[in-house]
Amino acid sequence: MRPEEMRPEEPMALMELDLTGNEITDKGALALSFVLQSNPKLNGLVLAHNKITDEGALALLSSIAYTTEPEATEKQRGQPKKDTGPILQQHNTELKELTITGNLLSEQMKLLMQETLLERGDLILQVLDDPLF
Amino acid sequence: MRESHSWLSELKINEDQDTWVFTKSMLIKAPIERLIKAMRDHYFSLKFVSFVNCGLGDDALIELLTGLYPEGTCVPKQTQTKREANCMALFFSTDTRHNLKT
Repeated sequence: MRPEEMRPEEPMALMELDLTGNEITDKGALALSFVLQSNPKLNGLVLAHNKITDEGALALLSSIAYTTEPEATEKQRGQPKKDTGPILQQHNTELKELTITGNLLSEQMKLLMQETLLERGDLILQVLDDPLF
Repeated sequence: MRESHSWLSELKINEDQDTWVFTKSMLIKAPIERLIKAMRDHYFSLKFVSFVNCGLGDDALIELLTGLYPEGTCVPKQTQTKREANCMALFFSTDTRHNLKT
């Protein structure tokens, strides 16, 4: 694509992206984690029935998980950004739904995702595989 | 060269024109950059996009993401090493770490 065909100064307003059944692996999951980090408008992501392993799930998780208390994050809104140290300075706080069922995640990773994202009460995580599949 | 837009006739768009449903057939007919351009031309209204069972794969997905978010969101802002460090920090900062295999 030629640069003049794009409008880089105006980010997409895209809110939901359904990528079910696309043979996406950890490489694609890592790319998505970067999109999540810097695209606050994307609040729904469906990755069901792909080939993401624990490594890709961890990249996604690191993009959306809180590492500080949510209350503190709320208080900091509108104020100059403080240096919070080297860990997860950028992460998506707007994602409301993440579906990652039917991938190659270990049971431990599913548990980790569920427990880590408990802090994000506004996020619906679907990680447990449908027994029918 | 004249471009065929036959794939456009297959595109399912709802009444509000905010939801686009792509199919595998469309991805075969049109190069992904055409789809990206069409999506970017509607960036104000487009809210929901479906690529269910389109067989995208990683490379096409990355091309798609790079096209939709050209401001560099697909390019790591941190070095891979730092990124991995962050992932590991998260990994070991949870209460479930003792349940996990390293």
